[in-house]
Amino acid sequence: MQKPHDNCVADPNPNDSWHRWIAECGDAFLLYARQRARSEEDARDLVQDAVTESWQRSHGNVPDKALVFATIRRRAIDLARATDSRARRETQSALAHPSWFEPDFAASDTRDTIAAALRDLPDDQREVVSLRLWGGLSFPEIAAVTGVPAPTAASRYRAAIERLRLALSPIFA
Amino acid sequence: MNDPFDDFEARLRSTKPAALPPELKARLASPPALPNRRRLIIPFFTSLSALSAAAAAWIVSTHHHTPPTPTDSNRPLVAESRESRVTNLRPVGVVSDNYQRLWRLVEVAWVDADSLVSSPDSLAVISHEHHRAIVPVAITFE
Repeated sequence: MQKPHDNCVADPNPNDSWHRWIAECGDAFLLYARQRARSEEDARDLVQDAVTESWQRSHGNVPDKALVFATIRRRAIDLARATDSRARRETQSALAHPSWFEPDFAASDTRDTIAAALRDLPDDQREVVSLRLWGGLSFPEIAAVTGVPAPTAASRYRAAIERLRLALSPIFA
Repeated sequence: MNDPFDDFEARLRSTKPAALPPELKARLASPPALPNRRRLIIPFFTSLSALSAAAAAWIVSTHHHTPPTPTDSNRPLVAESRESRVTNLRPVGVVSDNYQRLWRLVEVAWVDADSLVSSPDSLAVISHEHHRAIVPVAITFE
C-alpha cells in the first residue's frame, strides 16, 4: 500500500514525481472513475480533475491514493447531480465504453468475463472490490473513501468476492 | 481485517486495469500549476484571524449598556438596558476546509436580557431572548 506522503515539504522534482505517480496509479484511477461515471468522457474528466485537485491540495507532492479515490467519488456524485438528464442520455455510451482491463489477446475471454461479472455486482460491492483489488486500499481507507464503517466495507468485499468466485468458477477452475 | 489475498483474489488482481488512453495521457503529461500559496494564505489567515477574534469576543463577552437614569419624576421615562450572557458552549465537531486546516465548530447559546425600567414608578420589565448559533473556531495554525 502506498504510504502517506509528507505534504509539508515540496518535492525537489515535481515533474518526475508526477510522471511516476500517473504511471503507477493512473490506470487504477481510471478504472474506478469508469465505474463511477456514466460516460467515458466523464470518467476521463473525473480523473484529470481529481488528480489535479489532489496534487494542488498536496502542494505539489504525491497525494495519498485514498484522497484521489475520494475526490473522484465526490466529483462523480456532484457531476451526476448536475448533469443527471444528460448523463441518462449517455448511459448507452457508458455501456459501450472501452474495456476496463488491459487487453490480453491470449485471455480476452477471461478479461471480458471478469468485466462482465464486475458489472453484475451491486454498485456498493463493485466499488469496494475495485478500491481493494486494483486501488490497493486497506479497509479503513476504503471506509474513509466511501463513508461507511470499515467492517461494512469488509463485509461488502467478502460478499462481492463470493459472488465473483461463483460467477467466474468456470474460467478460474 | 486486511487478510492477505487468496489465490482467487490474486488472480483477479493480476488482471491489470486498462492503460490510460493516449488522449488522457496527453492531458496528464505535466503536473498542474500550483496556486500561488502566498495569495491563498494571506486571505486565509486574514479571515481566520478575524473569525477567531470574532468568535472569541462573542463567546466571552458580556456587554452592558449602562442604563440612563430617569431623572424627571414628573414624566414617565423608560430606561433600557441590555445584558448578553453566554449560557452554554458545546463542541459539535471538527471540520477541515479546502486547505485541510482544522476548525472546531462550537454551538454557542446565549441570552439577551432587555430591561425596561420606567420612572417614576420604578416599574421594571425584563425580557429574555434566547439565541443559539454554530461558530467556527480555528484550532490549528501553520
